[in-house]
Parts: sequence; C-alpha cells; structure tokens
Amino acid sequence: MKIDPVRIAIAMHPRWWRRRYGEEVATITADLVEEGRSRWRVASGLAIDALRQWARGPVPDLTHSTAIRRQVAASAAALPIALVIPLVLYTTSYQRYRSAVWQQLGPLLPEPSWPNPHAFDHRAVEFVTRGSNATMTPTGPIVHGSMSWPTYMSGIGYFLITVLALVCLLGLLTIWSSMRSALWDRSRHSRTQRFLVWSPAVALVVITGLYLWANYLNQQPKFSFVTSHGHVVSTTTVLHPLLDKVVSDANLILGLGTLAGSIVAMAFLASRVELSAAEARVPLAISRMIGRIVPLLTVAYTLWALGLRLQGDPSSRGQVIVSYAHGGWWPLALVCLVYASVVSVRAVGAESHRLQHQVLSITHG
Amino acid sequence: MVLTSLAEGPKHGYALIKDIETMSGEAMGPGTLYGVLVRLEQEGLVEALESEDRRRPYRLTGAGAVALRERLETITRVAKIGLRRLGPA
Repeated sequence: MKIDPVRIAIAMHPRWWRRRYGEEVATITADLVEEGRSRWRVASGLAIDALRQWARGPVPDLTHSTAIRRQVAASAAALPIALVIPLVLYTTSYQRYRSAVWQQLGPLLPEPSWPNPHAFDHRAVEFVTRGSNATMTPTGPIVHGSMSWPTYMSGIGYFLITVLALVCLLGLLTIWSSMRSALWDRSRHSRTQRFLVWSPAVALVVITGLYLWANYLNQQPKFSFVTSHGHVVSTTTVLHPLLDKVVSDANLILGLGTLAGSIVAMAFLASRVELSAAEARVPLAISRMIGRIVPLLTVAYTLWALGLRLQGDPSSRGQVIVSYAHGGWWPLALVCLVYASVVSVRAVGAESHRLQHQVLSITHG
Repeated sequence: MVLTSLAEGPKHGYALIKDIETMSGEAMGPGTLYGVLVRLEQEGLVEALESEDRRRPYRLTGAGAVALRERLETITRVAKIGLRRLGPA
C-alpha cells in the first residue's frame, strides 16, 4: 500500500479543522503536487500546522453539537494530565529523590550526640561531591550541598514553574470570579450545577491543604547514623520511608482526584451554561493570556525534570533538591487545572458566539 | 501578505498561494497559508464564501480592510524613514 504523507498530515489535524478545511487543502495540495511541488515538503508544512492547531486548543466550531463540544473540552483537558502523570510518578517515586540528605562525617569528628537534632549546628559538615571526598573542618558554618549544573537547571525550572503558576493562578481566580455570578444565575434550577460553580474553589482549597500538610510533615526530620567504609554516615529522613511513600502517594492521588473532579465539573458547566458575549469578554481575554503561558510552563517542567534526572549520585545533591522533588507535583496539578479551565472558558465563549450568530441570523432573517 | 492578496478581490487557497509567490518570490505551502487563514478568520479579518468545486474563496472583511490599511501605512512610514536615513544609494 502506498503511503500518502499529505493525507497523513491532514489526518493529524483536529477534527474541527479537518471538517472545515480538510477537503479544500487536499484539493490545493493535489494541484501543487501536479505542478511539481514536493509532496513530502507540503506534508511536512501541514504536519507542523497540525501541531500548531492542536496547541491552540479546541477552537469554537459553530456547527458542533453540545455533546461533541463537551467531549472535546473534556478530552483536551485530560490530555496534559495523561501526558504528565507518568513523568510525575517516574520522578517522585524514584528512590533517589525520595530519601533524604546523606552526609559523610570525617574520622576527626566525634560521633554526634544523638538524639539531639542540633548536633551538627556547630560543626562544619560538607557534602561529599562526586569524585572527591569532602574536606573536613572541625568548626565553621554548615556548608550546603554541592551545586552542579543539573541542580541549577532544576532550580531555575522550579522557580519558573512557581512564578508562572502563580500568574496563572491569579488569572484563573480572576476568570472564575468574573464568571461566578453569571454561572450562578444561569444554574438557578439545578442544584448540581450550583455546586459545580464552586468546584474550582474546592479544588484550590484541597490542593492548598495537601501542600501545607506535606510541608508540615517535611518539617519533622528524623536522624539516624550508620557506619560505612570506616566513616560515620548520617541520614536525615523526613519520614519513615514507608510512611513517606504513603503520604506522598495519598497526596498525589487526592490532589489529582480533586483536580480531575474540577475538570469534569468545569467542562460540564461550560457545555451547559451560556454566557453573553459581554460576560465572556474578560474571562476570554485572560484565558488567552494563560494560553500563552502554558507552553512556557511546559519548558520549565522539562528543565526541572531533566535537572532531576541528570543529577549524579545522592551525595552530590543538597536538601534543596529533595524539596524540589517532594513539592514537584502540586504546581503540575495547578497547570492542569489552569489548562482545563482555559479549555472550559473557551467552550463557554464558543457558546456565546453561537448564540450571537443565532440572534444575528434571526434579526437579518 | 494574505490580506494584501485578498485586497484585490476574493481568492481561493491555490490562487492565494500563487499570488503571494508572485508578490514575494517565496513559495508558500498550504500548511503555512491555512495556519494564517484560520487565525484571520477567527479574528474576523477575512471570511469564507460558498464553496465552488471543492475550493472555498475567501474575501477581506471591513475590519480586515481597516487592519490592512493601518499595517501598510505603518510599513510605508517606517520604509520612508529608513530610506531617508540611508541616504542616496
């Protein structure tokens, strides 16, 4: 069977695009190929455009039924989650990023007086860097873990994620607050819909609560000491490894579960509740801004994840990195929430435009 | 370039590609053209007419004409300043 790259490239586009432009693009392409244009070159251009159209998210299609739009909104919202969950599980479940900081003490240092957790405070304890042993100094300030370039990369990625996620969060809150009263009014006859209006707030409270809880637990360090190759080695474990895993997994499941619920709720509302063009103007403007931030967040996440993976053995890491790994899932959840809300708001906007078209048709008719 | 091409009158995709090729000397692929057309249509700067033999013509809207005029005036102003600063060849 002969492979037609142009047909494959057209099939890569979203359904709305294929319905609207597929046939005419196929006709034009046939004309161009007939006059000597390279089929593969045309196909590569179309494939790039297909990626661009997917990245734009679902575009208002005035001919779609409500059911189809709901499916589109829900699947577009679920897509980033499906893509990032394996990354999060892979990164956070890896033992190297789950355990705590390892410090190697030189033979000159006396064994710290356990269980005093501040035993190290008056000692200079340098982390062992990759390929060389630490220099031991009897006194001086505590030296932080070595900072290699993957550490910096991960740190910058995490900083960007936090800043961009906060901007998105503010935008999301503005969108929600400007839509809330209108949605509430339109949902007067449905108790379920009135509950769903508050679902983003519920998701936000749950995610914040889980974050604070995890943070609280991480403030409870436990120290233990073992002898390895003639050196005393201390480990600072945030929680018992088993409990640590349970807590992290529970947080992950609860956070993502709440998020998924919020996504379904917003997609449901977007398909049922109709806003006027004036009411949808502010949410749409902010959603466009957030839509531009989402690709930047993807880049930041890539930096963060690559930085974590590229780090060497545990001894070359500092505690900073451990906290990156522990706190990594929640901004990710936030990104998904933001993306889902953008999709939903766009769907609401599509409904407003559809209504406007109907009104215009009736007026002109 | 798409708007400039449509300023002459309604054109379908193939005619647009050929016209832009003549204007700029650069070959434009359907992927690039339809990426632009989708955006212009959503912004209300162009609109599609009834399809003729699987080819749908597009035409400039009123808003599209205004946007094109503004853009061309800006380009002309910048070009004049640039040429003046360069001096005679």
